[in-house]
Amino acid sequence: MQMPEPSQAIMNQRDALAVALRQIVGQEWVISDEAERRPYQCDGITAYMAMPLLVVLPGSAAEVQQILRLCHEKGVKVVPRGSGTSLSGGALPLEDGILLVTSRLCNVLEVDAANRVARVQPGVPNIKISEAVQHLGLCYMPDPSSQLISTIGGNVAENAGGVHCLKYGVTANHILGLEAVLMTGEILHLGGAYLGAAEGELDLMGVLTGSEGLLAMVTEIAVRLEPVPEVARVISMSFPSVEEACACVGAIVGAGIIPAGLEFMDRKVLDAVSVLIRETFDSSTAALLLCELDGTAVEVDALVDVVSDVARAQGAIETKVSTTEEERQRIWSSRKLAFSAIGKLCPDYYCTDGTIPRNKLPEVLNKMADMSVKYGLDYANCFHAGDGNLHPIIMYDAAKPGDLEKAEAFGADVLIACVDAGGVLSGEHGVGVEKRDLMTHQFTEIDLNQQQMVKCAFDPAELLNPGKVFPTACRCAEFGRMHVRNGAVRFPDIPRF
Amino acid sequence: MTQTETTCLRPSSTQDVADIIMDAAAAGQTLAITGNGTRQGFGNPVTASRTLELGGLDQVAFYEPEDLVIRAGVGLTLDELEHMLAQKSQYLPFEPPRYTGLYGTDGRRSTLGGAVATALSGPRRILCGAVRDFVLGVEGVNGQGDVFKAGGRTMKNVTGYDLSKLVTGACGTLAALTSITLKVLPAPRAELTLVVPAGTLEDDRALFEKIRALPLGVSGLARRVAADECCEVVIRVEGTIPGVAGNRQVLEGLLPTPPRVAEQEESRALWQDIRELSCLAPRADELVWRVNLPATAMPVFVDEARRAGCISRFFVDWAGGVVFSTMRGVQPEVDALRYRKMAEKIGARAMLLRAPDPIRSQFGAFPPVAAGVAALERRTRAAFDPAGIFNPGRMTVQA
Amino acid sequence: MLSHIPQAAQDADANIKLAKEIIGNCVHCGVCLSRCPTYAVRHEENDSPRGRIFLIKGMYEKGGAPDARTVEHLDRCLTCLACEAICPSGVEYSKLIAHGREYVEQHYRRPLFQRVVRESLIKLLPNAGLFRKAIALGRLARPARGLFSGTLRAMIDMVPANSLPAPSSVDRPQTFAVKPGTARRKRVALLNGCVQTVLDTAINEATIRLLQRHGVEVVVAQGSGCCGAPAEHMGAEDKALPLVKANIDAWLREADGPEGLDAVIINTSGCGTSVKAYGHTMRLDPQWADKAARVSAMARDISEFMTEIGLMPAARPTGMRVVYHSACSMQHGQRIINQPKDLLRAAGFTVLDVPEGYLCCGSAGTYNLLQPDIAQQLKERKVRNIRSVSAQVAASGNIGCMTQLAGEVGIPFVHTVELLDWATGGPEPAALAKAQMVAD
Repeated sequence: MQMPEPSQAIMNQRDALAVALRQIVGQEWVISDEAERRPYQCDGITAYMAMPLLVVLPGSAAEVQQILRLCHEKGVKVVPRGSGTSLSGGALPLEDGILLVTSRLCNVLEVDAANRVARVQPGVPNIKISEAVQHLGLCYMPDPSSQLISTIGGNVAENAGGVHCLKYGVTANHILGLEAVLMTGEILHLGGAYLGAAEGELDLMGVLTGSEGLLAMVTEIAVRLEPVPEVARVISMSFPSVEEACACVGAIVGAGIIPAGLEFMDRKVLDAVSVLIRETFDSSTAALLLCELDGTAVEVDALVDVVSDVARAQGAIETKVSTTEEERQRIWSSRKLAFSAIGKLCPDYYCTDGTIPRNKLPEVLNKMADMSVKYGLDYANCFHAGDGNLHPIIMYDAAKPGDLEKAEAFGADVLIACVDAGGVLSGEHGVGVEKRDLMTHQFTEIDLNQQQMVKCAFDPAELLNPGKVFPTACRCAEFGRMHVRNGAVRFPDIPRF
Repeated sequence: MTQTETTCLRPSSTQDVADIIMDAAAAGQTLAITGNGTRQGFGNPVTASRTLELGGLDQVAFYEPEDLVIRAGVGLTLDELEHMLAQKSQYLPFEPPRYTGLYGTDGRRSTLGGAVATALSGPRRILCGAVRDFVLGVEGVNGQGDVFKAGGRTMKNVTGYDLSKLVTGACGTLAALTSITLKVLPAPRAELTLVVPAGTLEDDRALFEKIRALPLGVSGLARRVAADECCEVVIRVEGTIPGVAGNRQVLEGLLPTPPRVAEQEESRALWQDIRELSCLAPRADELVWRVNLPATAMPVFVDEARRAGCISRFFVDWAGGVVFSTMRGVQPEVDALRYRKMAEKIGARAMLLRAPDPIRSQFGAFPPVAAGVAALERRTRAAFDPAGIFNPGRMTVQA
Repeated sequence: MLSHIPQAAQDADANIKLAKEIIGNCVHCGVCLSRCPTYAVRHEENDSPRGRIFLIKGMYEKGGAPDARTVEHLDRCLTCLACEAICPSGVEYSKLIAHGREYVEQHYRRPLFQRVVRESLIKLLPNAGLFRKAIALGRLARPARGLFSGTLRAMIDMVPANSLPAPSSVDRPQTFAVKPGTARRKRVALLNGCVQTVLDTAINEATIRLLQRHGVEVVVAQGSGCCGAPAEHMGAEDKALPLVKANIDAWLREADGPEGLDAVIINTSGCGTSVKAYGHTMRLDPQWADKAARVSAMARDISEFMTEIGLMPAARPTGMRVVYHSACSMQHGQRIINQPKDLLRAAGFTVLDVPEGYLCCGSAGTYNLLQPDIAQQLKERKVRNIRSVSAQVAASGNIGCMTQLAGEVGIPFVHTVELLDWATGGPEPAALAKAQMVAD
């Protein structure tokens, strides 16, 4: 992975910078020792590693502000990090940049049940919000699989989804207000702690959400709280072919039902999982759909019947409906264990995140089978079918020379197929460094320029998380000056990272 | 009203839009961007060299009901769009208001582009979200005449900055949008509305809170002025037929008095009235306000504002989170400033929905934002429209 | 996760080879951070399981003596194993950290003070006589505690304020036959432990009564004693092994004797984890591997064993609200989660869970002595959580946690078996009786 050339001049200032940063956050919260910086070399993708210049763990928004101001003055790059669970390398450090870790900013500041909002710091793990309001019968809806540890700040940066986003939406739909610090140290308050607090403003909050830490450091988040649904039931539906399972996805939605979650698992995943959950799946099953329905008991009962009918009409071999909460958890455990189960089948796996229109599922899945033959690598499929968010698991062995490169090429081909089918490179993991160089396949030069102009409005010095998302630097200075005819490439000379 | 020196341009293709803009930019001309011009009274008055009407871009690129997605030109009217969706039992959950009763224009001509540019969301906002939550992707032309796209057509998408959100609610100050991709949803099979006489504002707010704490999928909670001038609390339930019946029972148990029940058509008409602010029935000389605020602050805020003479008629939507009101001060300059200050004091946002041009020009239709945010908004506008040729002054008061 | 540990190092040390495999299973997902007590206190990657895996990887990749910072972070691990219990990829962190610590002890020269403290603890804890003397010494030092800081102060603070119970007669090697008139259903050996025989003799007494009442003959085998865990936690394998071997010999002598043995019963979950791991500890020693595996297979926590044989109906209605604190070695180490609670419910108690129940209380063997700051923060958090459920009595299956928390929670703190013994006809636990007297 090609990253911007580190500045030796900045790296030479490491010790002086550490001294200055320690004055802000205190001695122990600047990590400069080499052995101690090593665990911060990567996030959730271990294939990409880099040694951070320094690791800094601020304890307050005011400290974040001072750190950014200092780095801005000194021209030091800053990479934000929450719990380091990114699956796109979004928190991959830079050798000439500090890693700004939000894990100590982990307080739920206020729960306002009457207005159904909570104010939290960015380092609060997603699940802790729901735990903090559980006794009020409320919850925070978005539930990425990493929710036990992934922070709400990271969720905002990546606009995280989750199993239930089909019905309840992604992170952006649940954020009411943000406190963010620009690279210059300027603090901004966007939106507020109630519905519609951002109306009449430009939706800067909307563009910050999902900006992968390139625009500003978020230091406080006001999130919407929702009542916990009265009941949830899951229907497990087995199909004799992948095509029939895919068709059933469209048929359920076509029947006017938006399930809380709709997940797909292929035979390979089922075989891997069956060892862990000590349950066997019928040998004629080629694919399994898990469909969760939630709401009031009466409502859910009615929907369960409709979905079961649809499944049978679409050729389901068997439909099983959970009747108790334990049973629901047990049925879901197969999905939850899928990735680790596959992990046991191979030394390493690589998972991408392309998203496609639901009706293109069979077409893209077929292409994947061809690619597997082409690269000689096995793969399995386990994904959010309801929103067309694919997570192909490509199996490889990092110890085998050339295997990682093959897996990456396989993954890239899948993503290109997704874009060609009218989809996008990433549904919920973000572009990061992992899909950065594929951005030109989804967007034209003009589209990307327009996005990078926004970067220039927020961070013209390009010090926040550079080298991520975009395959080229912005050159904000030139943007301001040049006017280029429609369609013409603005900067053919900009070097790629 | 938008003042234009010369002609109104009405292109019918994205390329034409791009050419017009490029020419305007080259000539140093400003452009008032509109759809069919039904909501020119929203936001600040614009003075521009020419008007660019996008109502001609009314083609549907695709509509895939099984994928819950539609892409159409910005000029497609909301009526046509909603009709097309209804054919497939789908709908726009954000329930876009036209407000054309307010502005005295023809609501049948209100466009999709206008709904996205104004980002006005109807009563269902409390359950389903706002306009921004349903805009999946856009195509538009920036101030330099470049055609760009952003977002996509899938429900989940984290590829690059979400410019679709940024242009939603930007009132055409960032780009001339040409096409929009929306997420749509299956329309609920059944709906009904429970109606009970209103209590004190605090009683009603507490009732809203109690109802919203339950996972019943209540999609409308308002306190409005009824035809007989009495106030009433209206509660809308939508869903499957058995689901709605079940929720009705639960809700009836929570209400202080047995409710009157408005079924299907009546319920629909009732909420259309609320959406369009019909029950406010503003006189021609009255200012109309919309204040977004924390629901818990609503009762005191309304009481104080009424005592101060800043509210003459009002109703409350979004479970207490938004107050629509009229103002009939003899000195609107004084009252407007006072009302906005009262709102600011509790962190609320007071938007002037309707007022004569000079008043909106003076005070700004939108509440002022903090200096840092305003500066960033300015830089962001410049990132799309460096010369500031789109809808100059629509969102910000020009010095 | 790919590591670059030199092949030579792997060939030279089977534990390093194993470490490479274990590290290979880690996908760096970070889920373990959500359960790690040191991360909950420090919020720092180096003080998390994922961070320590990285540190251990770095230590083996580099070879030679580890650096002081690495050692510090490895020392801070409580080995509560909450991480291993939640790991979706099945990373065997317990083995990684145990062998990592052995490596540290073999290759790293600690500062003098640390060395003295650790060596004395290793000597002290397994030896009841020495331990009693140390406590007496500690009590003398208590008035002067202000002069001490860190570990020494923590040690003085640990000394029980009340006088120690006299050594119990049940802790001497002997056999307890079933009550006359009851049929003998099973015969078990009881690990009577080291610290427990000094600090709280009532636990073993209650255990023996409970078993006898259920038709189980109990042997305190000649030659058995400390399980070896205190030494092992500090990476002192050489000190731990003789203790492990002595236990294996003692119990197998009983098992292979005329009377046989159905189980080895452990009523301190910390020791239970260690005995259940004997098979792994001795796996590389051909002379001991099979024997150790046999012992591990026979090891049962008292709650597991009681669940297997079934609890008799309660003899008296207690109806008390019990907050059950699950020790880490119980819930994570041995994955015993529901059995103790189910037994308490069967005995007529109302059982309440501790919020954030997965978090360690900071006791963790000798941890509270060696890392007093973190231990103190965890203790305060646990105490807050226990107090939040307003129970009448707290119960746990591990003496370490009881010692750590008993004085702080505001309610009597007893061993689960004491409540089970009481409910099925034994005497009321002393702590309860005393609290009752105060209340009256």
